[in-house]
Amino acid sequence: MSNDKAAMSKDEVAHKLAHAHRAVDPGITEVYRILAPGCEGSESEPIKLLEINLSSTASGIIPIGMPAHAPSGIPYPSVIMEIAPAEFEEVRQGTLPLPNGWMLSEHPL
Amino acid sequence: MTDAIRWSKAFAIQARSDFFAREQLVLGKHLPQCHQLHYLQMAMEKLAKAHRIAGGSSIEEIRKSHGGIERTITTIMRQVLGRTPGTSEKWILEQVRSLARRIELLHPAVRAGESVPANCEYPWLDGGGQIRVPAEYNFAIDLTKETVAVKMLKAVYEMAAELANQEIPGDD
Repeated sequence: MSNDKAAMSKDEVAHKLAHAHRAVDPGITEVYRILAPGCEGSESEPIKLLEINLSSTASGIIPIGMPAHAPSGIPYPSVIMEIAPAEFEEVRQGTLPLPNGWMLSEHPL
Repeated sequence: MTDAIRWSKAFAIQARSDFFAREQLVLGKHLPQCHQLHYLQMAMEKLAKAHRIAGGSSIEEIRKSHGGIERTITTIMRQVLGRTPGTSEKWILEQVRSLARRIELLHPAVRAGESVPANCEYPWLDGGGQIRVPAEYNFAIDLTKETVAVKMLKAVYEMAAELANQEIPGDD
């Protein structure tokens, strides 16, 4: 495990990313962590965030991969999914499933 | 996973080459703007695909799609701005979203419900029944006059470089 990864857990980095995104985008109302059952313990499994954005138009779930960036304190790769508020309701109701068997965390970050 | 990194890297390398080709076209001041905008749209689309592959999309899904520029470029911008603590330029994201959408619509297959038939490649019939030619059309996208364009291009170049330089596990 690299020193950067040893210094910050995935959970801490997920909070940091969510905070950073909200700070620069006033359209984001909530950010949820998305979990891959059985895989989150792996270092190579990316941090996955679902961002509900008032500026987003409904066009489905598009996971966008981002590389790790140790210089800014993000030692893990991440996957960001931006959705519109109406789509989030569909995710909650299960009519818009998350890809790859991923699960929505219970509480927002 | 390794295969996904190889594809993501390959798309990012090609996106960088398209960005470079666009820069050469911009220098050719006598060329119609449709040519450099065509390369800009292609570069953005390939970079968007590189990020979608990195996000878990399969190469088969990616081949069928021409959209995704607006959402991907906005996400890139948010990620890059978020790397600098204290960044408070909140107006940027909305302008980047709007500009990225206009770039996405330059592809002939992305039509916004037929409301935007203009594209950089093929002649089209406008709302008044006139045939329009890309080489003679004013697309009204001048990146030298768009306030956010420099910041957006800086961010996408930065991210394209990071994806193009990804290390492949097991490769020397």
